Amino acid sequence: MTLLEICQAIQNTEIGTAMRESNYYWMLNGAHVLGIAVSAGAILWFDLRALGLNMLDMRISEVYRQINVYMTTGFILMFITGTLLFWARAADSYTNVYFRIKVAGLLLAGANAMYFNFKTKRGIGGWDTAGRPPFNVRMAGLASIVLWAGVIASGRLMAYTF
Amino acid sequence: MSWLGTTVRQSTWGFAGASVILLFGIVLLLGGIVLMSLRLFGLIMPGRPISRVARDLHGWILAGLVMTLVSGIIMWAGHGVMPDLYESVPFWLEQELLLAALVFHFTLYRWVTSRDDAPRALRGFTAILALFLWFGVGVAGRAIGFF
Repeated sequence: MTLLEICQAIQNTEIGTAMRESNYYWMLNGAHVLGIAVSAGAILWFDLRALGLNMLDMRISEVYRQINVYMTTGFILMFITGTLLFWARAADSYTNVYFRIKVAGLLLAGANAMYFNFKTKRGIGGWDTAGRPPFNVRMAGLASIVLWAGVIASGRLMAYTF
Repeated sequence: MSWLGTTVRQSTWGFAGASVILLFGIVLLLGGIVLMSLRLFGLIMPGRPISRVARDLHGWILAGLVMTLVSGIIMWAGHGVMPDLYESVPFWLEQELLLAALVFHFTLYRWVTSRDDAPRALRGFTAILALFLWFGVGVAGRAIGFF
């Protein structure tokens, strides 16, 4: 089976169809869209600190510690609602160019986060209290902001090209 | 406003572009409200004074407010995309909640978040009201496209 056929099968499942035709589908959509306030908001909070643009008096590790639960909760919410939304319109999404851009953005954002967590953060002892962190830390923050903005924008534009 | 409406409707990306800016504004505005509410509940940065956190987030909320209001006006002007906007129940609900949110924001919210000695119950109430009003605007706004 091709990927497209798999997506069509997913979309045509009873659950997928029920969600898509439900009177409450807009709530699933709304939860995903408004979820960016928690998820992207929390990520932005940390990214701005990594860029040395806010909360300069707070240690970067402390900002991370405070916001981590909400970043994670937000991400889980977005992942669950996003999966359900995809399930309801798997084939429509698969063939949508903005969906593909969005997936690419998600993968890159994930890679950026992993690189920061496993490599860059190792040296945190040297820059935890720095008002203006080193270049690679600031770049991680900037890349995160740009990539997540791209994910949000392409996600929104999906609606106009279905 | 008809020149704006015509411009938006005739531009391929006018309405769509405005809706993207609207989402960025929502991240800043609602994100800022969420973070401030978490602080008011004492769930985040409990050691950092409330007034300090409010000042940290002031820029977010202001920028988010400007972005959502401007893009919202552009979308309203270009609503030829949605001819029966004025018959939309969620649209009017959204506007009423927006008005309430703005009044609340420049009165009780401002009072509570500019000081560190507000009573705990009042802080909690302000946080709940902020979340209810602003997310109410968001939910009603989202509903416009579906009803």
